[in-house]
Amino acid sequence: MTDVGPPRTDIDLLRAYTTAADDAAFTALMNRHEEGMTNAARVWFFRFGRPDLADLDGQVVQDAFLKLLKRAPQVIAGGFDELGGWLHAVVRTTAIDYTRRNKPRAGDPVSDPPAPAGPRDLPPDVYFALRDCLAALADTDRAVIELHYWGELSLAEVAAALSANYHTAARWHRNSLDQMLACVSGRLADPDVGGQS
Amino acid sequence: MTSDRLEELLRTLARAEREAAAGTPAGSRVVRTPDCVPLSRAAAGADALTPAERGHVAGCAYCAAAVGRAPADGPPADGWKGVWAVRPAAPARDPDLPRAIALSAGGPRPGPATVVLALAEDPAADPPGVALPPELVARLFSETAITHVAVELIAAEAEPGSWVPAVRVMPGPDLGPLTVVVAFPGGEARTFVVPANPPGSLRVAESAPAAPVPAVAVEPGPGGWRGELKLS
Repeated sequence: MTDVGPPRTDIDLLRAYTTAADDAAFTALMNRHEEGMTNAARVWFFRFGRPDLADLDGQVVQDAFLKLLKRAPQVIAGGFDELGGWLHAVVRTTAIDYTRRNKPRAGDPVSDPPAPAGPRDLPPDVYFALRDCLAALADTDRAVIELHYWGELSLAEVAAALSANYHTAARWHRNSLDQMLACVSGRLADPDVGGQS
Repeated sequence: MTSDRLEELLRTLARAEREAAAGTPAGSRVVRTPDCVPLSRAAAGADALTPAERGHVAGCAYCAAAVGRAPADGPPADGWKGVWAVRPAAPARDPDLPRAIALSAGGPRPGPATVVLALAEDPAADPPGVALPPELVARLFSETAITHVAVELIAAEAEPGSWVPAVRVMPGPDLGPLTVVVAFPGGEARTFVVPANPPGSLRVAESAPAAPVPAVAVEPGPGGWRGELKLS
């Protein structure tokens, strides 16, 4: 059947699948997000220092869709129309699971580190200060920073992804930035270096 | 350094890492073919699959993972409804089987040549599976984060009135073989040896078929299918 109506939201598609077993709706939902989620999975593996796991991107996406199906009633009840942020956050946590599950063993050849930003973009000391200070954040604070800057989600989308309201997410974001600011400034021999544009 | 400058640096770092990730070759371990079962159908249950799809799933790790990790809603009133259709069971207290785990499932369903029973002690676990004793994990798995293994009993109707069982473990052990003793509800017991995978592999490992067991041994009783599992 040709779809002549207005574009359906993610939740419309998910509801059609869960209530009417509409396979085409779920396929449309997958087609809408699969490429973005696959790219996101690869970014997360780089972010977590495991580019060698990037070829697990398809499995991460598959797991994320299965989690969506499993939690569909709660997701639908959440009142959101679009699922991009939610799926992106699930891809991130799933990539974390895969990273933990595939720890390098003693004797394994050392994986190549993630490609750092080049000196043209970031001075090495700034790069390492950012990386280490980000790693030192608490899990939720780091999730907010990573989803907002790496995932390019708005704070409203971050809030939806983390099951929080907008004001809470904004407060987490502000606190995380304050912590990073103190940490990075303390790490740099000349904090003004980071101030250069 | 100002807060605005920090945000600018974070965006620069994020952009550089995104570009680096985009420059890597596409994934190679997961290969979906035209025969692969669509995820939506896999989640709908093993019963929804055609015989051809079931045959494909048996040999495709991608599809098997999709089916095996589907939601555990429990079996319906009329019995067996899929590979994840298992019921909660209390831990075994048989002193002769110190590591025995009481298992249950909806019972095998007559139909295609191969029927798969997923055995689990806690069907609510995600993914469902059997929790291995820590010492067994340390001995058989190089990745100690793996604490649950999905054990599937594959019964093939090789001859009328009997079943030829094998055990499939996902992921398979990679440091040594896993011995699985399954005590069937009818009292029959069979021992299976699941061979070790290459080090680091997370693929499915399958035992050789054991001697046939009578059909009555795997028939569900009034409380559903119940058996016991001993791992060593």
